[in-house]
Amino acid sequence: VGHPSETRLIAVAQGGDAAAFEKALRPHLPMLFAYSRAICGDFHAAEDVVQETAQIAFRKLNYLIPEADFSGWLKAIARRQALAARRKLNRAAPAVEELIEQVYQDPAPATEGVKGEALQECIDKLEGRAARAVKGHYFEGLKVAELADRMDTTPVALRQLLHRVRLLLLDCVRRRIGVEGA
Amino acid sequence: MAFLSCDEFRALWSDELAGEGGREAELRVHAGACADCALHAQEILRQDRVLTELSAQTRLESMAARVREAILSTKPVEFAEPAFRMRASRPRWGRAGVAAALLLAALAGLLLFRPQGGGRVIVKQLPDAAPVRGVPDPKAPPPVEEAPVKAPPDVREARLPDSPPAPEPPKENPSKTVLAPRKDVEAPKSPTPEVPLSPAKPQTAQVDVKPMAVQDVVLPRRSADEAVKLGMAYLQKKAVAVEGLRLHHDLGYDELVLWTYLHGGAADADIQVILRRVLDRKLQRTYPVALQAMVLEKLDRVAYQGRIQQCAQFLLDNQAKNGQWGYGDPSIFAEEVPTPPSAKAPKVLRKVMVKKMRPGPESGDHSNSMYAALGLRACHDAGIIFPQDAILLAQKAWREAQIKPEGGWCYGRHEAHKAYGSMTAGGVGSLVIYDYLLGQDWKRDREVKAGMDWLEKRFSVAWNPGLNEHAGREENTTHHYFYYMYALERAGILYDTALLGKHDWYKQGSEALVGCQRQDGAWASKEGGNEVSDTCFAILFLRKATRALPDVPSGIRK
Repeated sequence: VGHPSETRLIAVAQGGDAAAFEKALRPHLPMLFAYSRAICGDFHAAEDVVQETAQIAFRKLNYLIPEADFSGWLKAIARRQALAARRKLNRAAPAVEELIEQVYQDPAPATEGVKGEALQECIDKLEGRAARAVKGHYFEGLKVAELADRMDTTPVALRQLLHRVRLLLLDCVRRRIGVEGA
Repeated sequence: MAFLSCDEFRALWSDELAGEGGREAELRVHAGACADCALHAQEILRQDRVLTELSAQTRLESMAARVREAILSTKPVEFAEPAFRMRASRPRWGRAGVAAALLLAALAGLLLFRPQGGGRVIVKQLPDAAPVRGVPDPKAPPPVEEAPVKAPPDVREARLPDSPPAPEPPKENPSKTVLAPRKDVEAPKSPTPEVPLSPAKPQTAQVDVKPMAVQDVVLPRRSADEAVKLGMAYLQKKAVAVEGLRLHHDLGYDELVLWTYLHGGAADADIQVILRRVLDRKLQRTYPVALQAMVLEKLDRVAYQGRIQQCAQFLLDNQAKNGQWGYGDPSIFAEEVPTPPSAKAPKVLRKVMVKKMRPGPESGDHSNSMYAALGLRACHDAGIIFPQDAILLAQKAWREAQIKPEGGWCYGRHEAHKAYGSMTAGGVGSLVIYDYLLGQDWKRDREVKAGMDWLEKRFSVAWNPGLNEHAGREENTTHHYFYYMYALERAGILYDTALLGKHDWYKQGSEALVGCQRQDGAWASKEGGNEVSDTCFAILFLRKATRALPDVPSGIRK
C-alpha cells in the first residue's frame, strides 16, 4: 500500500490497463470492504459498494489529484457509494461517522500490528456458539435473523450473543497485550 | 428521545455494527456526551474492522473477480494523455545510466568547446529551436528566433470596467466582462512585481537543474513567457477537447484551471465559460472552495463578496477539531449565506463576520490545509472576518505538526513520517498567512524559520526533496514535483524572499520548468499528478501567481 510499485501500476492503468489497475487495487480491497460495511451496515451491500468503487475509480483514474493518496481517494469514492447504499436500505445516517473515519484513517491492514495479531489469536480461541456466531456473521455475511434461524435461537438472543462475544474479544486482547507487554 | 445508559449504549452499538440499527440519533447523542463510551465504541469498531478485513482476505479472490468483471467494460476517461506511462517502471540503473551519459556528454562538450567562465555549472547550448519530437503543433507559438514574445498582460490591468458578475461577455468586445478592477480598496502592495519575467532571449539550460520529472527532453531555447504561452495554449486546447474541464468537481480542476487562466493571460470568453460553471456549482470540497475564493477575490472582491462569504463559511465549518482541513463536506450554513444579486452589488468592500456553525471532523491533512489557508487569506482580503480562535487553532495545528528537529512537514500527522518539500513549502506558506492574519511578524516565527531552513538545506528544483510518504520509502522523488514547485513559489513570495540561502529559487526554478516542458506545451510529472494540474502548477510558478503580503502592522516588524 502506497509503495512505488503501486504508483507504477497506476501509471500503467491510466493508459487503460485493467489488469494493472486490479493489481494496484487488490491490497486495498479488504479495507475498502470493511469501511463500506461499517458505513452502509450491510455485508452484501458492501460487496456491491466495493465493485462500484472499483468501476468509478478506474473510470476516473486520470483525475487523481496530486497528494490525494490512492487509498484515501478510493475511500472517498467508497464513502459516497456506501452512504447511498445505506439510504437505499432505508437506514438513517451512520450513528457516529467520525468514529468510522478515525478507525479507518490508517490504510494499512488492521490485521497487522500488535492489536490485530492479538485479536486473531483471540478469535482462534473462540469455541461453540460464540465461534459459530462470529463465523456466520462476519465470514458468511448472514444477517442476524438468518443466523438466528440457523442457530435455532431468536434474533434478540443472537444480538446479545454477538455483544457478549465482542466484549469477550475486547477483554482477551487487553489481557494478551498486557501479558506480552509485562 | 430518552438518554441511554452506558450499558444500553454499548449493546445498541453492537447491534448497529451487526446491521440492526435504527437508534442512530440516540447513539450519536450518547457518544457525544460520554467519553468512555465513545472510546469503547472506537475499540469495538476497530475490532469490527479486523474481523471484517479477515473475512475479506478469505474471499479476496472472489472480490477481485467481481472487480475484474466490473472494470472490463470500463476505460479511464481520457481528458489528457496518461500523465506517465511505462517509463515510470524503468529500472533504477537505467536512470543512473542516462544521468551518467548526460554527464559524460556534457563533460565532452566542455572539453571540446571550452566555454568562457569556467563555472561549476555545466551548460548545454542547444541548436536552433527545432521540434524535439513529434509533429510541431501548428498553433504553437513561433520559434524563439522570431520576435521576442511580449509578456501576457496582467489580468487585472488588461480587463476591464465596472460591470458586476455578468453572463456571457459580448463577443465583439470580449473585454467587457465581469473582470472588474477593484476600485474600492488597494490591493496589498507587492514588493515583487507580479510578472517579473525576463524578456525573451535565447536561453541556456543548466544541466544540473533539469528536473528528473521529464526524461528524453532536449532543452528548448524558450523564455519563461513563451513557455507560459505554450502551456496556456495546451490548457485551452484540452478544455475544448473534453468539452470543458469539468474533471473532478470534488478536487477542483475547474477552479485550478480558472486560477491559472487568470494568471496566464487567457481570453475573457474562456474564463467566462469555466467561471459560470464554477458559480453554478454547490460548494462541496476544500480544494475547489479555497481556489474559488482566490479566483473571485482576484476577479472582483466587491461584486463577489457574497459568494466569497459562502466560501468562508464552508471553510470555517469544515475546519477539523485539531485545526486542520480535510476534503470537506457541504455545509448548509454556507448555502444560507445570502448572495446579493449582482446588479445590487455593493460598491465598496464591506467587512463581514463569519462564525463557525457546525463542528468539523477530528482531523485533516496538510495538503487540504495549505489550500484552505490560501482560501482564508483570499476571504480575508475580500473583507471577511474570521473568528480569531479559528485562525489560532489552524496556526497551532501547523506548529504542532512540524517534525522536529527536522523543521519540515509531512502529509499527515504520523510519527513515522519524514518531512518533504511540497508539504514543508506549504507549511511555511500557511504559517506565514496565519501570522499575517493575526498581525504577527512571520520573520520572527520560530516554526516558519525552521521550515525555511529546511527548504534551504534541502533546496531542489529538480525533485520534490525529502521522503514523500506517498512515494513509498524513497528520498527525493519526482512525486508531485509540479505541485511542489507551486508550493515553493508561494513560500518564497509569502515569506518575501528572493533567495533560499544562496539559491535564487525563481531563477533556478523557472529554468528547470522551461527546460522540462513538453513540445505540446504541457508539463507532466512521471509520478503523481496529471498533465492538466501539472501544467497549471508550472504556469503558476512561472507567473509568480502568489500576491505578496503587505507588511505586518507598523511597529511589529519595521
